[in-house]
Amino acid sequence: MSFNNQEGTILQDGNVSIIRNLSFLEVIYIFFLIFIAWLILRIFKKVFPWIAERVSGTKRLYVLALMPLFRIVVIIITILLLFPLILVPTTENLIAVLGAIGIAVGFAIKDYVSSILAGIVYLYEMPYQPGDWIEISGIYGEVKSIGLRTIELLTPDDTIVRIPQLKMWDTPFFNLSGGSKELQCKTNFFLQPKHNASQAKQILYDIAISSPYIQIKKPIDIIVVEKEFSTLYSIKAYPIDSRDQFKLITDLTIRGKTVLITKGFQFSNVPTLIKD
Amino acid sequence: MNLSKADPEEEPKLWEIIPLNKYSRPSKPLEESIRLGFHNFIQKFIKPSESNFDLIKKISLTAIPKRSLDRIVPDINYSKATEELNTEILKYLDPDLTENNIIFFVGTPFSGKEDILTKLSLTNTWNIIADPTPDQIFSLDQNFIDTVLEKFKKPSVIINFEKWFFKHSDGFNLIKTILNIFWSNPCKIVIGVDSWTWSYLIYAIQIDSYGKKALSYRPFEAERLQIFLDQLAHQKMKREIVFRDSKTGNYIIKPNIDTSRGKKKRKFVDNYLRNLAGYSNGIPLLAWSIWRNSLRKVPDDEFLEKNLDEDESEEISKMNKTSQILWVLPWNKMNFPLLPDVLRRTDLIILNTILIHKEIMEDLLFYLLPLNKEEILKSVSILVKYGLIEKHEKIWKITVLSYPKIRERLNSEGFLVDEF
Repeated sequence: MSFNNQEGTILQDGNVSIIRNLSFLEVIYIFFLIFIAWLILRIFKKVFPWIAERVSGTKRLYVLALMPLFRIVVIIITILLLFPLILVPTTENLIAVLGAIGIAVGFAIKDYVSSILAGIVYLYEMPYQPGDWIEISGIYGEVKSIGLRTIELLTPDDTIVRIPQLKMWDTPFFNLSGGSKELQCKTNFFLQPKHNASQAKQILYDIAISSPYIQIKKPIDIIVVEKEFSTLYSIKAYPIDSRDQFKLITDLTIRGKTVLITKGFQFSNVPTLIKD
Repeated sequence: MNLSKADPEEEPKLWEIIPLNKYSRPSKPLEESIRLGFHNFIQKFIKPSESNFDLIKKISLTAIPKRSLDRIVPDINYSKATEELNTEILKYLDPDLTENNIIFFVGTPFSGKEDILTKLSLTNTWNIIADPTPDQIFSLDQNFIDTVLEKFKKPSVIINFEKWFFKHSDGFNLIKTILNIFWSNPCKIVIGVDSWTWSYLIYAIQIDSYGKKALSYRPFEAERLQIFLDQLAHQKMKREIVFRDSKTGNYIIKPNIDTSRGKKKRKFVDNYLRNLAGYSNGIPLLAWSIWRNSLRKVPDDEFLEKNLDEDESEEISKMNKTSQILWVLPWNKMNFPLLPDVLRRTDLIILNTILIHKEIMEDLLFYLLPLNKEEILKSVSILVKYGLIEKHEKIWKITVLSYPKIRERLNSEGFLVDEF
């Protein structure tokens, strides 16, 4: 047996139910709120990248970085609006709800909630932002969007990979651009050891400095390392925009190979045993 | 008007030669920067028009006929700049030719560098060393180097050093060889370099380390522009010319009727001129082009409909008797080329490549860029469509009026621009 009051349902033993009695209109209102929040989040997902593509330079990264912040604001506001509508806001109820959530999380949706928690921690730490180039568990790509549960990476071969935030929690990851447009690229050339190294180095420097993709204001280094069966030349340079990294590497590789071969340099045919 | 009567303390020297490290571009007024920022932001969400020159076409009905315009705003004469450069250069050149004397003269696009240096060589009867052909650059042609070796023993001028290299791995050999020859021998040589090339070659070959001095002329800020445009207007016109805002009637360049006002005149600088100086980057030819586009025979209808008070009507009628009034389109009504958002990185790379070489032959564009021909042709057609580049005898150039916008865009996208 139970009695209804405005705050909730008074049960037979005199305790008050956690969940409020909801009228039909209130249920509609709750669904409406959830729908609006979902709609706003969907709009954010479309609008922020759209704006980001229309602003130039580093402003693009700032716009993308704002997206997760706005998303969490919408989610928090929605929860704050829903909480007093659904639950009777007493201390006992709060404890009971948290206890129930704890049990559910502990048994059923532990990983799911861990991912969401990791997503919330991300908002504080911000170790990566949309527009950054990161590598995790061998997957390399540009962070396109950050949700509370997953992040979306766009790989160089144009594939979207969704990685649970939890993965970022317990696996080391590499952020190669760190919130800026700058991203160092390495282009390797393995040459047969018997050659004029300073000439080869100068050729590769001229190749690098004349690439239309290179950020000339950043340092360009040619590292020369003697390997067991070859001499390794690495051009370390930055593209103007991190999105051009593969174009830069391709350009340097093609032109480097062409010029080195024309000038009589020979590429190593023996597989390099030492891992670079 | 006789400008020589003016107190030299009142007026800055029009053509002042300065070391490159003192070069500072005039900035846009704050309100104009805000207006432009807002305007550009809105434009990002509006579908770009087919051509950005529509308004200029529409308003050309009230524009001054070309013949009159050529008298009111005649071509720029760079003789005075040459004189100033000559005086300045002689300070640095060793008369005995015991050491290397390499002076760089760096000019922005449309700066008149060619005119100035050609006149300089004629004034001093110095050799002009002709530019190499692309083949001579790529092959490091020994005959060409021998010719240079023969010529540089006498005082010489290289007018367009930007035409001595290519942004290509085989494109630096010639300038490195030539500069090393100059550096290691007694010589007296003035080398003209485009500012974009200069900025690039500083990174590529540290060009600045070869010269004794790098000079340029001081950019024209609002005060200089006022003198410059006033002088131009009175070069061929006998009557006093007054420039007024076609909408408000405010003076853009004040009349110089009586001497008591004449001195004060120079202290007054209208915001229009500040905008003009900021937009044109202080490049006189650019300001000249905009100025020519902005002059009108009659004021705006808005001004005509305004009830002028008695004093104002009297002033205008008095002024009409003694001088000619020309109306200047308000700055915010000028329709400058906009760089549409449809421009892709390929388009920007092409613009940057053209600017680094100052201008470039079509075939070389295909050769220098790691892009296929179709892609380049597509980009070029987009750039032509928006009035950003133009072709003369198979050579691609940036258009004068679009240059400031292109520079601004390339800078914001992280490309190397002409910074000193």
